[in-house]
Amino acid sequence: MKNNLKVWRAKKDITQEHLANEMEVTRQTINAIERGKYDPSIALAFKMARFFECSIEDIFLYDG
Amino acid sequence: MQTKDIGMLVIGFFITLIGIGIHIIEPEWIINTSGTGGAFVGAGIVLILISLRSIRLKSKGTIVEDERIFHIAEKASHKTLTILIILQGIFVAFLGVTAFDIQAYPVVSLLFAITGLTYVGFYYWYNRQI
Repeated sequence: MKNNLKVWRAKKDITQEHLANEMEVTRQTINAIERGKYDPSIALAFKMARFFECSIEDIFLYDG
Repeated sequence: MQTKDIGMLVIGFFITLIGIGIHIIEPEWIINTSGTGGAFVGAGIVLILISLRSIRLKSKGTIVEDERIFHIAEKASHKTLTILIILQGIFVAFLGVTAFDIQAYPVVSLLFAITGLTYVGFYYWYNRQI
């Protein structure tokens, strides 16, 4: 799964640490998601979409 | 401080006390008092250290556990279990073929050590990968 979390984070001008605290996960998790090493759970994806005020598809792209 | 952390601390102290007690009293029904006591003390101290670390990090607001960490632990556990089943299968087959007479204590200790080391190894491996 691809994602443009880094872009959304840059738009909000927040650090990985800040986002991690908002999402109640570790900074390493945010870093792993951004690098495409880890696919988040549905709950975390919804939480991110809610935080960035967009839909899940705006952040995550399922490339089959 | 969460109830879970306090519970783990109390259990850790209790296990350590049992270990120290075995060392001091040296009950006759225990074959190897130093080994048994040492194992209890070791387990207790590890539990206390893990609990204290968790309490310290949580008090600073650091998130200790999240879904990625559970995912890593899940993968490490699965790999460890797979390797242990293979090892134990080979071991049981070896004993069945050779009828080799061995003591249970060192074998269980060895399997215990292999379990711990394998899990820690895989945990760090997946932590680097994911």
